[in-house]
Amino acid sequence: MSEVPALVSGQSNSGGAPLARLPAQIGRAMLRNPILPILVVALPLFGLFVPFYATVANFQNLALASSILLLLAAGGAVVMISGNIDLSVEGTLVFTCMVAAWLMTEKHGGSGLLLHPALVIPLSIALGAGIGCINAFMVERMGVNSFIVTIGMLLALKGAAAIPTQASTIYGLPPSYSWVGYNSVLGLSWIVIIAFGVLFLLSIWLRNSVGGRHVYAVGGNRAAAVENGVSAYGTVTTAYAIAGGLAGLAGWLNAARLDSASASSVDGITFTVFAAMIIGGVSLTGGAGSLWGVLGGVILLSSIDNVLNLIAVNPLYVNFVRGAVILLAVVLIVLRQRLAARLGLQEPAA
Amino acid sequence: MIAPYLSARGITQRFGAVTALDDVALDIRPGEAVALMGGNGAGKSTLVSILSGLRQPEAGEILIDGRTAHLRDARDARAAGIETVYQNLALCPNLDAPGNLFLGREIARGTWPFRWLDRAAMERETRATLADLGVTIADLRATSRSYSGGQRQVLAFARAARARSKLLILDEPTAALGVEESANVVQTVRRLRVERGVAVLLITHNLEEMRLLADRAVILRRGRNAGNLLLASARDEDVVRHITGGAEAASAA
Repeated sequence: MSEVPALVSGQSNSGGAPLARLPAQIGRAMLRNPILPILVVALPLFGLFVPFYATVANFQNLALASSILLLLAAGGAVVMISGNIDLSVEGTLVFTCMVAAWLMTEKHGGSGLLLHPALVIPLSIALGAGIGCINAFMVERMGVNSFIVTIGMLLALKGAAAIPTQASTIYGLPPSYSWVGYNSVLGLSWIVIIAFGVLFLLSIWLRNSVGGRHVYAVGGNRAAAVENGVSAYGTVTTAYAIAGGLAGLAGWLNAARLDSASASSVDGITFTVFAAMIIGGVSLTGGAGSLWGVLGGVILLSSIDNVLNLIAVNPLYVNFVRGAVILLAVVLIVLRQRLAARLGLQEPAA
Repeated sequence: MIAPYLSARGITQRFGAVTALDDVALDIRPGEAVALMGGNGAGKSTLVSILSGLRQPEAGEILIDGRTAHLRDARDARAAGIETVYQNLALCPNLDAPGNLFLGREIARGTWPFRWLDRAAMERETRATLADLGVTIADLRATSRSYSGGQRQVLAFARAARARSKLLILDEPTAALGVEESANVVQTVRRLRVERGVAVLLITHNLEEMRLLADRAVILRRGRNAGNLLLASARDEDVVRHITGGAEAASAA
């Protein structure tokens, strides 16, 4: 990944010419970013041995397939860094997307309101952020475990999204709503540009703003953050609102890509979202992780799906391979942590 | 007589059947250093958390400069001029030295939600603050997880000392410190008192530290005021007697 944290001196930090230190620096970057060595090994292998993997058309396809996952995992990662879990993003995605489709379409299937996408798109992002605020209220103010709150929210939202349409798909979305799914710049779909642009801006905010710093502080030691006047409620609300808002955004992009809205269009993506975050090095206990790591996790998982598809593996094997990759990555992460500890390397500061 | 900077009246706090604080009063004048003494479970920590804004008492009021103050969170307490060095040090293990020193009052540019951290300024200030205390932390950008117990305590103390506070609450401030670091902390506390008129509330079990830093001892026992002694005239045995309840027994006899 592009983020190579500034060297933090451990006892093992030796001097010497910059060029001579380069291998050591690369080694350390690899140790700090668990996903980096995996990608460095895996992607060239895919390119060498999998026909069509390393083609422009396939990369376009990969980027498009990664975009929705990336938005959900980036939002989920902000919540996880704050020390909480958000299992509800899949539910938020389909719920906001179905509400948006309902508001925009004709009476049979829709509301008949025929609202303009320029109004509906911001509305669905705001609705997602609002759902995030409800999650945060129950977690922080009512003191319910975030796992319980958001799994309940996931089920409730997925159910609510399916009821009005009797679980059928809504077609006939306005062309201006689906425009991003059919247009591109220099071969890059607008969906990809929006998703990666949002990731870029969010990672800058998370690393360099006071709000982002507080996300790390609350996740690192909630009591200490509160004792220093940081509002845990405000910070956790911000994190959940970001996750919900990005899910709302992802709902739009997903529906635009499919030119339809359905309550089951991303069934089971929750597991992939969590796999991407964990492989990407986001700490399950909070306080550590970066969005660039999450991007690495998304690239790896999307590539694996893509490769299995390209070499026409029986779809029944796909889940098995994914699971095996997640277990392997987790083992590598633990080994990396032990090795880094033995070498006296420190985790980069937030 | 100088008017007290902080005056707590009738502070009462129960946890279920346990009464942690029962009608407790405390006055601290500017520049005065008061040692809050008492055994385990005497209510010292609860009183500290109330004065730091972390907990709102069930009954009682806190006057700051003669006006009723509502300390709803640590930010309110800081705004009222109260800085606390917590016994747990309140450091985030995943933040570096400047990150911890400026936690909750980061130097930043821009307006919410886009307030950008000014890392260079915070690092400069951190270096200067630590140098003032005669401490060097070799690598300011290392996370506080990697610091020694002494470095952590110095960092937590430096955070409170550099703020322009009126009342400094120190909860076991030198427990993890070496001889030299302890001397620096003691010297800095005295300097803050003399030069800036900072009041100090010291929580300690150590009679020697009490004598080094404080000139009056307020003693709590089982959540109630159990003594108020001027240390110039009180002997250590007197303080201990009030802590253990020997004084009550003597007066009852």
